[in-house]
Amino acid sequence: MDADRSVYLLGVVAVGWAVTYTLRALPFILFSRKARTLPAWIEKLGSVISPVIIAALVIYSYSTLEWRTLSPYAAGALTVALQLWRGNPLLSIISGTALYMLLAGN
Amino acid sequence: MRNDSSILKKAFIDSLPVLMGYSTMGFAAGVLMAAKADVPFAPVWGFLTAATFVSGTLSFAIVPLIAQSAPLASVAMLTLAINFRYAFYGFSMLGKWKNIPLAKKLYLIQMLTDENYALETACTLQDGKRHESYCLKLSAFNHFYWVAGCTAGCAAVCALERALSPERIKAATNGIEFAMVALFLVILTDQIKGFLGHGR
Repeated sequence: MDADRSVYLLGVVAVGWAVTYTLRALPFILFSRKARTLPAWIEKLGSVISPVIIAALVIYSYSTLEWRTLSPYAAGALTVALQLWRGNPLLSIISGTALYMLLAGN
Repeated sequence: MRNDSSILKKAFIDSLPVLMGYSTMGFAAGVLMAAKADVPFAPVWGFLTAATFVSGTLSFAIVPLIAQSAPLASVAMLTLAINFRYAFYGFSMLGKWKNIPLAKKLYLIQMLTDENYALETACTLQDGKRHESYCLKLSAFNHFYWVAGCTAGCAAVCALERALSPERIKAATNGIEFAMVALFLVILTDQIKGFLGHGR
C-alpha cells in the first residue's frame, strides 16, 4: 500500500516539477538566439493575464471551502483589508486563516 | 561592492524578508501536507515537493489532490493554471542572464519564484558577473529557507502524531486550508493595487 502510494507521489513530484520548470524556462527556450527586445504585446499580456488567473484561483479555492456559510467571506474580507492597510502578506494570511479556523469551530 | 563577500552580504540582507515569508509559509505548507494529504513519511514528501516545485501556491494547492489521489493529468492541469505566471518572468531576465554558463542558468530558472524575480529585477548591480553572483547566492538562500520550512512543518506534525491521534491533529488543524485562499487573495490584492496605482 505504502509502495503504491510512493510511486504515485513520485509521479506527482515529477509532473509538478516538469510543468513548473517548463513554464519558468519558456522565455529562454523561445528567445534563445533572437534579439533581446520583446514584443510589447507580450509584456502587456503578462501583466494582464496574471491577475485574471489568480482571480480564477480565488473562485476555485472558495468552492473547496464551506462556501455556503459566512466564514470564508469574513476571513477573506479581513485578509484583503489587512493587506490594503499594512501590506504585510504574512500578517494578512495568518490573521485571515486564524479567523477562518476560529469560525470553522475549533 | 567590489568583492565577492560584499555581494554575499547584500544577497543575505535582501533575503531576510524572504526568510520570514518562506520559513513560515513553508512551515504552514508542510503542516498542511502532513495533516491533510494522507502521505506516509510526510517529511520526505515535504522535502521533495518543496525542493523541486519551489512554488508556495502549488505546495498548498496540491494537498487536496494528493489526498484524493487525483490523476496525474489533473496535477498537470492544476500546476499549469497556478504557475502560468512564471512563463512571463524569464522575459525580464533574458538580457541580464545572456552570458551565464548553462548549469548556473538552469538553476536560476529553477528558482525563478515571485520573490526572487522581484529582487533580481530590482537589483542594480550593473556588472554581469556580479549580478550573476548575486542571483545565485540569493537563490540558494531562499531555496534553503523554503525547503527547511516545509520539511520542518511536516516533521512537526509527525512528531505531534506520536503524542496525539491523527484525528486530533485533523480536528485541530481544521480550517488551515484557508491559508492558500488567503495567499491568493493577498497576491490578487497587490496585483490590482499595482495595476491601478502603478506601485503607488
